[in-house]
Order: sequence, then C-alpha cells, then structure tokens
Amino acid sequence: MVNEWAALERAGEWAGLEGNALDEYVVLVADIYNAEMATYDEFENYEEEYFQFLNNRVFSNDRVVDLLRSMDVDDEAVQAFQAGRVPVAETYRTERMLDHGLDELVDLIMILKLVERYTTVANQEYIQSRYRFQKLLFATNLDLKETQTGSIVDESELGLLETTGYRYSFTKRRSGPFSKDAYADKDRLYANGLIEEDVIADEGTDEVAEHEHTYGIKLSFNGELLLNRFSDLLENFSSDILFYWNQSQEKAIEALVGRTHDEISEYINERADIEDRETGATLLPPRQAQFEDSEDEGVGGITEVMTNA
Amino acid sequence: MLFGTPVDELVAAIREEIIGDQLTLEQHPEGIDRLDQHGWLVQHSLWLIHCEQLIGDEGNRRLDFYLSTKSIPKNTEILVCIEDGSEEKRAQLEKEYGSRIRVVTGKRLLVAKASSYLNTANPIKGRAGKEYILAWNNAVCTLLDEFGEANYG
Repeated sequence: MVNEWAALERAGEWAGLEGNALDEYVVLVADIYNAEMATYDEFENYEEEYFQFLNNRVFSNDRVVDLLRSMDVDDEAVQAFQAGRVPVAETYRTERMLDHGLDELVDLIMILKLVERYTTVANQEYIQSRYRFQKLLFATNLDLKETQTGSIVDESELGLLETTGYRYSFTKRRSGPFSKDAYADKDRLYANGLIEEDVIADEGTDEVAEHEHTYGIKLSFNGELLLNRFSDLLENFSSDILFYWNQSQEKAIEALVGRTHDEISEYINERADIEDRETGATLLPPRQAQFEDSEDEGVGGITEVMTNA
Repeated sequence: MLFGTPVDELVAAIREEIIGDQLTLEQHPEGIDRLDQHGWLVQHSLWLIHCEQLIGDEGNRRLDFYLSTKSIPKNTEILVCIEDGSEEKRAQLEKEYGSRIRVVTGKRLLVAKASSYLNTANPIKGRAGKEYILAWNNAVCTLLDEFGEANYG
C-alpha cells in the first residue's frame, strides 16, 4: 500500500466534506496527526495498528469532532469519528478503485481485445504462453512506431507511437522484449476476474515468470461480458488513436499467430534488430509526447523538496 | 514565491513540523530547468508544482507526460498549488490527474500535507517508515533501470 497518510483526507471525504471545508479539516487533522506521530512509538507496518492509531488519536480528537459538527456533517459520520470507528481501510479501497486513469483503462481494454481477437483468429482456447502475450504487445507497439501515415503529428522517429499504443516500455531480457508494466496489468486483469491463466504445459518458456510451466491466457466469462457490452465501440473505432492502435494490433496477431516460439523470436529479432542490444536496454519506449520548452517562466515553475532519508 | 511566501520560508515551515532529522529536507528551486532530466527528477520524493505548469496554455508537456504515463513512483507525493484558489482549476486538475496528485490552495494546507507525508515516510517511525522509503527507493531504481538511466547521478 502506498500513500497511507492520505487516509487523513480520505476520511474527510468519507464524511462528505469537499472544497474549502475539506481543506480546513485537513489542516486541523494534519496538525493533530503530526503531534501524535511525534509521541507515538514506532509502527511495525502502516496497516491495522496504524488505522487504530488514526481512529484513536486523530479522528476522535475533540477538535476534529467539534469542527465536523460546525460544518454540519451528518450525525452518523460525526459519531463514527467521535467513537474512533472511521472505516479507514474502506477509504483506501475506494481510492484504489478510482485510481485508474483513462489511459490505463484503455490499455486494459485493448489487452482484453487482444486476447479475444487472438484466440478467435488462432481458433485456440488460449494465447498459448506469457511469452507470446508479451511479444504480441511488443509487435503492436513496434508496428505503430514504424507506421507513418502523416495524418497525425508525426515529426519524431516514433511514428504513430507518439500518440497511440500501449504505455509500456519494453526492455531486453533473455526472452527478448519484455514489459514489467504489461505483466502487472495482465495480473490486474486476472485479479479482477477478467482473464484466466491456466497451466497448459509442464515445461516453461524462457519468458520472465514462466520458467517452470507454460501459462495459457484466455478471457473469463466476465471478460467476455465486458467486451460484448462494448462490442459496438470496439468494432467501430472512431478516433484515430484507437483506430491505428487496433489496426497494428490486428497486424501483430496476424504476424505471430502461426509461428512457433523460435519463429517468433526470429521474427522479433528481424523486425527490431535486438540481438546485439545489451540485456536491460530499452528496446521500445512507451507512447511518447513531443515536448516543447515552456516559454513562460513567470509562474515560478516547479519546486521540489527532497528527502535523503 | 508560493502563496505570497518565499519558498525557503515555506520549506522552513514544513521542516518545523517534521519529526526527527530535519536536515533531510533540501530545496531545489531550479527544478523547472531540469525537467528534461527524468533520471534526476524521479530521485525526489516530494514535488511542489504550480498548477499553471499542468493546465491551460502554459501547461508543461513534460510534466503532463510524466504524470500521464507510469514515469513517477506511486510513492512520490505530488502537490499541485492553486494560488488563486480557483475551484474551476481544482476540478480540472482532479479530472485530468485524479488521485495521482494532491491539490493545495493555501500555505497552511501545503504545510499540512507536505509534513503529514514526510512524517509518515520517515525512518523515525520504525519499520513501517523505513519500508515506506524503501518502497519508494525501489520504485525509483526500477524506473531508472527501465529507462536505461541506472547510473544517472
């Protein structure tokens, strides 16, 4: 878990505060929090003991309760603060659920689309390995990088990858191009019950986290339902960004679907010329942007405060 | 200047609220000139950003890129300052960047949020505080490695 301290603010939002009232509340609870943290002993972790600390020594403080009352917060919420029964863990769960930006959601949807299309084109139950899954994503972004249509800002050597494609950075591993973030997103889809991963062979591949067994990836029932629900949207990509992304993904599927593991390796190496690259080198950056220098320095810019702990 | 206060005074105000070793706090006001140095930037755990650097015509595309992609460790705290208190700007920031940033609209709120964060990600709070910092440190190393900047000073 990260950003545990944000529970201070989340609890205020849970109580229904917003805008200036929420700000005023945060200033007060932070003041109490800092004072109580200074006198409290060490924490083993920022979980249950920490939540109890927040409830017993911060949220239930009389100053907090008085402030909430003065702000006409719902009685039930005030009583929860007073009694030290604020559901801190729930506020985290809410934050995490809302923590997917649109870009992230598009990545996840496009992965679902990839799984559905690959298994359909291949007429197979699964994408036959995590290795193949990673290389399909890489081939998609590689095709976007090499595609030059001129219809979208295209002044960089990244081609369409400037504006569309997966936001994954691929580095060279023993198995070839691999993205840690793509792996994490695959796990997120699994954790949310949208894809299934089954062991389909006892021997592994040379892919990261696939040395002992080979894992097949397919849509779950819920994943199919989700894709069906948005099938019209996904069949008729109206934006250039999604259209070209989908087009490159289809080309990647077509290119890899009939190839064996070794043939995929050979194909990727021919396309991306990765054989001579050092392990760990970035082979393909994520979707980029064309940066421009800010000409306005009058607003003061960015200031950082650094801890060296 | 931030909220009509010199930045060094704001830093001093934050320092006063920090438990333990206050010498661990340093200010780098030249940050905007080094936005292109991603490897340097991500080695800072707390960022204070003027909202004009993210929204409107003056928005900085590098910052937007870092925030829109996974180019900053989740444990890094990013406080975006709205000096005129505009609710419209606040809504826009929250819509575009969600919970990845925290909006502050005044000096007291800035000090409150920065100090709460630094008192949580703090080794003086024992194993939990150390692990918080370790998680941030590991995320930075992973990012630098992924971007090929492992040896960046």
